[in-house]
Amino acid sequence: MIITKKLFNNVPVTILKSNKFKSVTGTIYFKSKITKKNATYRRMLKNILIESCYKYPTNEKLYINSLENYDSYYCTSSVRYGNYIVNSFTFASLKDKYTKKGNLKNVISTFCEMIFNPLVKDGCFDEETFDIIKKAYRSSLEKIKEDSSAYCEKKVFESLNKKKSYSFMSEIKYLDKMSAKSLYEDYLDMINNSEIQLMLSDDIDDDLIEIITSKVKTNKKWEDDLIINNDDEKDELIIKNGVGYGTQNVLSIVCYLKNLSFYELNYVAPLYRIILGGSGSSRLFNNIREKNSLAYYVFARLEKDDSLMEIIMGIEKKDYKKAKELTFLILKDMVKISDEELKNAKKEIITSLLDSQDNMFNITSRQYNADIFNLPNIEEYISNLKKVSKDDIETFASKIKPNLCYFLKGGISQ
Amino acid sequence: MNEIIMTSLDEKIYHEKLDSGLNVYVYKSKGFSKKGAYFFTKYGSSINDFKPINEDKIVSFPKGIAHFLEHKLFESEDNEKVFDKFKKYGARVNAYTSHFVTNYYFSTNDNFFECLSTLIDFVWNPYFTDENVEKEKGIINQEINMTNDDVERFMFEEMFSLALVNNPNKYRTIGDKKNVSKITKEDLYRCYNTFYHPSNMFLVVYGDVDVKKTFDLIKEKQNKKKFSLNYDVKIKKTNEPCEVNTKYKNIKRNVTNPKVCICYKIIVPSVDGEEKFKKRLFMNLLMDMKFGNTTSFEKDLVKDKITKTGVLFSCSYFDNIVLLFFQADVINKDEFINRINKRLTENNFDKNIFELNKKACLSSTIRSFDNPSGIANIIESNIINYGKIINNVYDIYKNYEFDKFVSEFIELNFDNSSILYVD
Repeated sequence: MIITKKLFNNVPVTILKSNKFKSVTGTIYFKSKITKKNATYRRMLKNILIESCYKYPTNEKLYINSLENYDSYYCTSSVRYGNYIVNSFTFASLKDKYTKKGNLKNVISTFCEMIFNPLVKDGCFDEETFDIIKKAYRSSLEKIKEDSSAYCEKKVFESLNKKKSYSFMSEIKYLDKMSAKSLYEDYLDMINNSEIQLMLSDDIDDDLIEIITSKVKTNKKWEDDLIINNDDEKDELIIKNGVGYGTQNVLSIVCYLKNLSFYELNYVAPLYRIILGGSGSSRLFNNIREKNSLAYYVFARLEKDDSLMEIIMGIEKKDYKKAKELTFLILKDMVKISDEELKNAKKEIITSLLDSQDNMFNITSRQYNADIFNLPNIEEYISNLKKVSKDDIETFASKIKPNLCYFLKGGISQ
Repeated sequence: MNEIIMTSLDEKIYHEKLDSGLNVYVYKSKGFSKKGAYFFTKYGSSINDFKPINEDKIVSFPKGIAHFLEHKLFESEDNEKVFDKFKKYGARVNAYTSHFVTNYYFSTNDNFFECLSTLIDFVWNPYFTDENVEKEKGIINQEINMTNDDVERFMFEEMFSLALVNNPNKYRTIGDKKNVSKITKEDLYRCYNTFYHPSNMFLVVYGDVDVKKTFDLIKEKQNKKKFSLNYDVKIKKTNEPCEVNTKYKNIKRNVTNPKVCICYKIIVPSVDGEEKFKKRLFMNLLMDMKFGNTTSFEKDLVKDKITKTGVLFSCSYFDNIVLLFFQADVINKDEFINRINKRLTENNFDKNIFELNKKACLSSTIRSFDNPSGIANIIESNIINYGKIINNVYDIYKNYEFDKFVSEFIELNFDNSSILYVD
């Protein structure tokens, strides 16, 4: 794959050229500082902007246009990265050789209409559309209780330091105060006060790139750290529990990642995670599930941007003590790993990275991640990863201690 | 080895039926680094009553045994975990069980032939012990808890038992705790020996692989194993009436919003191959045109305070039975049911929207080749549903006429439905 970086209208554009796809995709990213309020607003924004726009004022009209453009595809997301929130907008389309000349230009034009020309009247989003989207969003926030894993994750973040960005989640109280006008004000804030980047999965004509970048009026440069720093957090273990709404019991153990170097966070921590709780042969899987039949699922998750390592498992209530103690023991034993474990963990990450290059959406999102975390290209990253030693992992392991143990008990009898 | 040419798409799939009866399909995707294989047996959760191989009577096995067997095939006699065997090649391995198949699969970038060899070895070398069978029950009970907690999934699965009377697809793939507790090592071997015969299996390979070497390796593995020559399995046949099993059921759950699912049971003529594919195309287009994003149907329901959210809709097909599902969080249950019924039965179609949906089908067919593992899934779906690869999909879409669509709609009967209300 050939990676080219250019600047169009003050917007950094990355072109990731490979000749294997029949389609092309592009994603524009708007990165802003996260606040308690915009954590809710930006997620609402992603929903309202994909619904309609000024040119296509209903979802039906917008969708019919996408069918006319040979089933072009649009999606949005709003994701918190540490201290920032990133709203992204993506288009995908078959290349013109499989459709008709000019189709991609039509797709990009609609894409721009959706982002830069929303359905707005008198400084407000269209009230009717706003009400429908708001109701659906509210309902989805209420329903989080029905998903034990998501609900447990919410409770875990609520149990951590409330001043830190990982506790900034979508909240009904902000949604209830939101109006079509205040949402439009937040939209303007996103458009005018974001760090903007464009990623393309193929080399498309400059004039098509210009169509997108020419709409960008300002491109802000944010200087604050992306990664949340937990160095000031106390070295203590907090044990909490709550009651959920399903039959499932979820155990979540959180460890702060403190005083880590760039190298440890980006190369050592991912390998540690794989050995601890990566896939079907990790230490957690083998001990918690296979040897002791305590859980159907058990895994470790590295939240690099939050400086957190999380262990999550679904267990029976009666097994809580045993599962917790066994997990603590497994964490303690991580100070000694084998050559084989390290070698296999490296292979697993490399496979996953190379796999991502076979999916055009993953190509662009991986590149964005690399950019915001200041990581090198895949080849160089793999080369650095191969250099991680057993000592590196064992030293890292000695710094990892459980800081929060949250047990969400099922609320319904089994 | 023969080539199946995907007409109008400039793509092909290699196929060969081996001496053992195993069908092998290879889709070579140049330039992609991900490679993998899917090893299927045509044995899923809907097969519970059958004559085990070398026995003479039909036996009823506990529900959920196909899924349990899938878990247990990951045990090996040499004590090296199957996951570990793949991990050392940098590969990922997993499996799933559906109503119709069980699939064991891996993906990798490197060491493809070692992985393929390992896949065939572990699927064709079961190792069940009383101890490892008992151990698995706790794990599967956790999985049952997890799936029970997903209310939408629970409702979807429950609808099968409301709509279907005798058809074995009415049971959940995972089974239930009572059935799972009854499963023994002996049961697993009887099921395994019956359905994991190469004549009942097929292997699908995708990626930028050496096609000849792939076939050679599979033949070599096959030749090292001994399989019975007379493969004859009798599965209990059932007759399914037009009527549903239960018209209305109310379940109390700890849900945020009440939910309704309606399932229409439609009997269609029994057809095979391409004709069956066309029937499904018709059904999919019908659902998209009536309930998809080209209509304001969902939005109107929210606007009129009938539902809280959008409507989830889908189709399931079992031989000559089609089940249409509609599910939503509701404010006004009765009006939701009325609106769905009215919308579904009205004979009012826009030819332009029909043509646009056809256009989307054509584009999606071309686009599917951007995802080689997705093509492996399409091959599986074709073999299970139509008995062969439908290689003229593009032309079928292109030649499908609006008048034919409308005439097919007129033949449908929407009189039989089940309703599940969860509050």
